[in-house]
Amino acid sequence: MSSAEKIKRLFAKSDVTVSPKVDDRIMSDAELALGRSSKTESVSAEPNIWRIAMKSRITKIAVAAVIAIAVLLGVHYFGVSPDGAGVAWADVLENMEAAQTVTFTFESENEYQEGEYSWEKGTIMVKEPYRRIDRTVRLRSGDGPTHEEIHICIVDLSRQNRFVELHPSQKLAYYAPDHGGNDTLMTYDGLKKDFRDGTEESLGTVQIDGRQAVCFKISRENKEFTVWADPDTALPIRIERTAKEGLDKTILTNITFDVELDDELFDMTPPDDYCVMNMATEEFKVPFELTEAHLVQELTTSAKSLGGTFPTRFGRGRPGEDAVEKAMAEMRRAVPVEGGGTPMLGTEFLKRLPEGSDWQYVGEDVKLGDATKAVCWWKLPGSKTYRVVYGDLSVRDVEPNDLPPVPWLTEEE
Amino acid sequence: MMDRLCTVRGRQRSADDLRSIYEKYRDSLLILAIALSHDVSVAEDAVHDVFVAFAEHFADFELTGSLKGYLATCVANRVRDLMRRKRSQGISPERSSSASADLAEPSHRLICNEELRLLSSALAKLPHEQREVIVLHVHGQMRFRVIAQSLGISVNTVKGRYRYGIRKLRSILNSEIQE
Repeated sequence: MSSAEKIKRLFAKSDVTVSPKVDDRIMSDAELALGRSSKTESVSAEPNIWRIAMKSRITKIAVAAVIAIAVLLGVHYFGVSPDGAGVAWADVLENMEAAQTVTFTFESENEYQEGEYSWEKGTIMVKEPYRRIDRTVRLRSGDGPTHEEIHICIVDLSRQNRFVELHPSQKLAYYAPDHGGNDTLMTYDGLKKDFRDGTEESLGTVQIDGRQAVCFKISRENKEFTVWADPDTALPIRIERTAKEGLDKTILTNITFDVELDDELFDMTPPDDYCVMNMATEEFKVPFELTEAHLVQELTTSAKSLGGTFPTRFGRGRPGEDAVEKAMAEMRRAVPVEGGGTPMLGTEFLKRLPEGSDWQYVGEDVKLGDATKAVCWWKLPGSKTYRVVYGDLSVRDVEPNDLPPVPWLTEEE
Repeated sequence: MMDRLCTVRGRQRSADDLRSIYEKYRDSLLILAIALSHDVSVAEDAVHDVFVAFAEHFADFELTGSLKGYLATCVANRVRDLMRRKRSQGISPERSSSASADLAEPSHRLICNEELRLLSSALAKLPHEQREVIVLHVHGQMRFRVIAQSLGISVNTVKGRYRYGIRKLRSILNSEIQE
């Protein structure tokens, strides 16, 4: 019997006797949590689809970039000397490993998930255990338009891959104290393990970028690495990684070892005037008071990104699967709006409304500029009137009896 | 039935629905957590925390895949966090591992049978990353691709961890399992 079969059989026969105290503890706490979530639903329970999209996209890009870089740097653990050339693979590995710092420029192009493309160009500085990436990222979803962003991403591999990504143009920072899940992937030990099966081949002396270099090729499962090294120093001058299938290509050039890198370059503290989102908790630190003007700005940006129509859902809105699907489709075709300000401040404003503010969103299919149709409203505790945002972005005080009916709330009643 | 319930957004989900899900998956998730942590108190805490968090979003939770796989991944993540926290508090993995005999201790709120104790002891000798992939694949019945997505790593890495883990288990189990 194979080890896998033994494990399967053991799992099948495994059993645990559970004390009623365990059930009581788990279910009573879960029911309390369920009760709490029902009470607060009117303000903040529903996740914001735009927030999720932003978080998801940024995370994927950040992870993809860091993994690509770590993988490329990990080639020095392949560890098998080629035969032939004057400079051996082992020499290249040894010199790379001895370096305290490394900087390089990179260009990459990949389909990081089906239909989602990214192109990146920038510089990377490595000073163990930190990586700093200054890059321009261009993203395209399906046949949609291309959106360009400039980021500075700093990753600390020694502390669960915590990272901060700064968006200077928006004074916005995403912070993740623990990337989770990738405990060994982005460490050298993990790479060493993952790439131990690599095969190395010396391609001899070749011309690259107008100079002579010794070339090595490494084939690893669905990827192929090519490393060109200086024949005098045995240090790499260019590294390429391509996928044997699919679109995934990264090129490293201008590789420099043992340059002086100031520790301040790897300071992960966002500037004081930045809004900072903790991606683990979704807590948003905002260094100023949020007002309804922030909500209006985010609604404006959302409508402009959809060609002048407010989204189907904005934190809240029409329930049901078809509404969610429509909203997801809108998200995919949304066109980035230049000068749209810091994203998510509007939803954060709503999230921070006091309990009982009776926040509703009814902006589905409302045209930007339509002064007759309400988009959303809320009522602060103690107030006799609602604050209503209309399609023309005006904000007016409205008596409760003058609010338009909300079909899904009426149906529930 | 419960899995289908979670694919439809609705306000009609009740505490009874939540309890049904808990009863359906409780044992499987506890076994998974014990196999991963080799520690019954960590296992109980992990399943507790996952169900409380699940309850908080139950009304709006929308399932896109397998509920069992989703909960298994959440428990695996929580076990990892709790074990990391234990380590940071100075409680070494060795100390946890030495408690293998305690898995059958009647005074515990969770009592493991012999197979689970043997399984947990064998898995405890593997690095956590390999253990996690083996447990999610074999016990959680999750495909490598799904595990890769949930852990944020490549499929090849998952397969590698599984392969290395199984290889190490071969020698451990050969000495411990009498067929």
